[in-house]
Amino acid sequence: MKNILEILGKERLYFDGATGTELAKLGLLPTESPEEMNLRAPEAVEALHRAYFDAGADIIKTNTFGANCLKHENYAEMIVAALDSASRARAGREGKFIAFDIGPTGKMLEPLGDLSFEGAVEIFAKSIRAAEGKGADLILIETMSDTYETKAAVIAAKENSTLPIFVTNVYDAGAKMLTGASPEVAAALLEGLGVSAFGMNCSLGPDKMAEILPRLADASDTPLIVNPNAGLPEVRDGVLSFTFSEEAFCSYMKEMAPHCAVMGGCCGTTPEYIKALKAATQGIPLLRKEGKGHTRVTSFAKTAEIGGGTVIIGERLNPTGKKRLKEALVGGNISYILEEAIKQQDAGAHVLDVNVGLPEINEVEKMREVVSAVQSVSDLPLQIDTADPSALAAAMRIYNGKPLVNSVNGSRESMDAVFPLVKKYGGTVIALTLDEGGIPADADGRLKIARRIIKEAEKYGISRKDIIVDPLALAISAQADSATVTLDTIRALAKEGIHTSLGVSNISFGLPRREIINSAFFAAALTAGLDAAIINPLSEAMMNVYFANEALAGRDPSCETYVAYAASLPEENTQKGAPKNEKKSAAQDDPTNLFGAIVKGIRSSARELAESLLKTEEPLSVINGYIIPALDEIGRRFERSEIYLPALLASAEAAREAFAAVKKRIPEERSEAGALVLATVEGDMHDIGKNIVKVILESHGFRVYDLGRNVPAEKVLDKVNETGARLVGLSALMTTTVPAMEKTIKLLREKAPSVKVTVGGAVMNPDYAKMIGADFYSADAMGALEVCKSFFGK
Amino acid sequence: MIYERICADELVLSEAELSARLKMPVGTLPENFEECKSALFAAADPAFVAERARVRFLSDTKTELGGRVLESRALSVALAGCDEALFLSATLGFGAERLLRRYAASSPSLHFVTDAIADALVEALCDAAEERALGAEEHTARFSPGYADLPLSFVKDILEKTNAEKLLGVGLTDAYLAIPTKTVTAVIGIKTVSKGTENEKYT
Repeated sequence: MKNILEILGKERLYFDGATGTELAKLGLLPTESPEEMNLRAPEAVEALHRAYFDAGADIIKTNTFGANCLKHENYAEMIVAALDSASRARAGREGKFIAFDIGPTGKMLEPLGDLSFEGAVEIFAKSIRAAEGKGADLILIETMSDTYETKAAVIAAKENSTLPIFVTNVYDAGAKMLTGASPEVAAALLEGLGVSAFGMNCSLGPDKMAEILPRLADASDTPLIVNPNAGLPEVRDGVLSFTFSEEAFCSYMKEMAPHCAVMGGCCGTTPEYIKALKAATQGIPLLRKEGKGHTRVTSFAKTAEIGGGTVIIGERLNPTGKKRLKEALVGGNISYILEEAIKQQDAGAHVLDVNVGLPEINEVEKMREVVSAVQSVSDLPLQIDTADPSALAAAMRIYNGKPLVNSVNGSRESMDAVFPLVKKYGGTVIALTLDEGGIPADADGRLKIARRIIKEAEKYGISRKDIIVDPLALAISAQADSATVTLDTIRALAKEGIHTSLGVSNISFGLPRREIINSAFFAAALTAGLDAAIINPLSEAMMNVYFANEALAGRDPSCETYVAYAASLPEENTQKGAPKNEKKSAAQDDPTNLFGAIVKGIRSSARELAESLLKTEEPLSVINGYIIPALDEIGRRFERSEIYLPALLASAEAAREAFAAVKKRIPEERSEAGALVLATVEGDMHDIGKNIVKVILESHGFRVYDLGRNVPAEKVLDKVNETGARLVGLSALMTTTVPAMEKTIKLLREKAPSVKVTVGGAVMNPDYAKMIGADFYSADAMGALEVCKSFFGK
Repeated sequence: MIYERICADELVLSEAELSARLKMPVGTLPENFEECKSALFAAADPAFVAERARVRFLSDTKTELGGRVLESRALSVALAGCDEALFLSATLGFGAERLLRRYAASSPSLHFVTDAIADALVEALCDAAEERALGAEEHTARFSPGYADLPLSFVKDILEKTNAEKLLGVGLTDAYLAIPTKTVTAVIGIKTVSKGTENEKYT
């Protein structure tokens, strides 16, 4: 019996068609799921498989789409029975294959839903283990509309089976998966994971799939699969049917055939469709794959292509030289980290570097936490930046997409540690031109290391296109010719068609006014052919170089992007003098002073104005003379209903920015009005009320340890123990999650009896609060502020 | 079954709904309203599925609806006079969800205003869905799981009946929260009680 991989890509193979609708014709009950029929009427399942084999299908899918432990307790029994039916149908037929079919779990993965990535992997793993050795020739992961769930299923398959893995995803008519992935994102992810074939099924007819297929074909050399529906669903005389006849179906399938190694059908297709499909397309030659060279990294929704224009990798999520980030990492202030990620994205970064390496923290856990959190708010691809292989493995495993991996180097130890991870989880990897002998002094030496790394990667099946070389920028203050060597190396690498990346700011280490050197070097590196640069996208000087270079290199038609960028810059010759030093200007809403900026809720200028004031005034004078009076004024206007919650929030945000500037100048313990832990309880995904409370409290100088939403009781307790906070704020919006609030309070009473608890949320009222043991209750954010002021004696 | 995607620009936001969500007087809007609305409309992918089901009253408090027997006086009252009901699932999709997550992390004021507009938008989607599914048929107001004594767990039945997982990508957490969170599930009574039927005595 041939292995399917011996045929795949050489001859076209044919899948079967619809299962559920066909089983309905064979006796599937309305109250029954298709996989239950494996146990109740296996002969019917076998008959369907026979019908498809007789029609010409080469591969049949087992009737196990929903056979997982979430949906059925007896899933294992169903799977064994399904494979038995398939094996009986296949008996005596040469060249026929059985695909163990896996459909979605039906639950959304975190952070959008409440199923953890590892939880999803385990659900799929259980099904795969139940099927192992029972006659399947391959695993088909199908009808997946989410890249994260797809990855979980593929990882489960790789870890629990040696069978080839095929994957088909669901796209809408706009060529997007449900959670945002384009065909290019899916192709990069699946190619990186090393699946044997991938493509599309369900949702669309062949007409729409024919529009999407060229993008998949361009994106990857991996063999492609199409299993369309028989057109769109329609109800005729109360019966669900599909719009395309066999003939119409086949006309589009013929168009796609040259690019498809495997073809079949989904909803609405029958054995007759498969018979017609095979007859119509088996004579059409399969085109050879040409060796596409796209170097792409992805998130769950976006791609960044290296080599298609300069790629900006934002460097601000790296604690080296960044005190506030260090504090945020050590203190668990994930909000600050997320704000920095969003700021960099808004400033134009294409990829975000994530580095959490600090001796004080557990890098493996922190990397998992930060990668997940950043991916919950940013759809940019991430660069996973760590020297710790365990942290790298942890991050690459849970990353949603195909990451950029920083880094591998030419040492045996590094390549042995990193390449297996890239092979397992997929990724494009940055290769540093150093090895056991150190960093070569000239371009030639660095080029040799680059070539060696690329050759070693190929032994793991990692393509040259997934290696980006970093020629290294050493400080010119220590080595005068460093910049020249780096630029020469970039040119040499570009000549060999090797993509490059560089940590630009290393060049100026130890020098004053580093931006001057950095921006000049950046321009020179881009001219030499640099493809990707790790820089600060919030630096105007650096982004000036980027946008100017894009225009100069001819990649900005009509200089449209440059013109838009230039228009966004502050006007020339703007004098930024000291703001009016008036505590209460006659024009209270004058936004050119700090008081007015807070009252008007102009966040962007509040911090700037505070920093400007701090040049001439003491920090406490800024707090007591501007910030607090502004907040009092805004509070009065809110009470008089002259302004409403949106304006209050805008002012609170502005005040928080101003406070952040002041806090840098005074010791933390003196800057805080008090500290509390805040969380939405376990099972509850609502956080808007909690976030409003948080910004109001922070704007009044309270330190808030925000644990986010869906927070288990134990995590609240851990944070209390870690921080010494004496007050906990809990929020719940659903009646079903009030018990979780009660559980959290009980746990705190038992393990941290001195801690007080205040509660709130739409479902809460004073009676409930008392019933579940809370110390305080507030109906809204201002109420929560009063509770805190009273508790901390402010 | 009716399954449609509707462009956000085609939906009409109710001023009253916006006012209630923004906690502002009718006709007044926050300064960042247009910014939030543009971002939301670009990110949202409004879609709905509607499916009819038979209604059978078993008692004053018990109703059989779409194959499930529900103990809920409020539901019985809401569907009084109806032989049929429309199961409705409507969502703004994952793009809107991600936008709200992003704003939650970066700006409570953008988050609050965008969340309010999203609530108004999903209600507008439900209004449009009702119009397209029911036209001129007389019908009741929307009644959702969790209202009065109708159990929240009924959301699972509505999602299953409308095949929302497959068609809209809507899932459910263990606490019966629909994901994406800007999803509405509801039943709407269709006022067509036939004479001589058992249901007539519950009109």
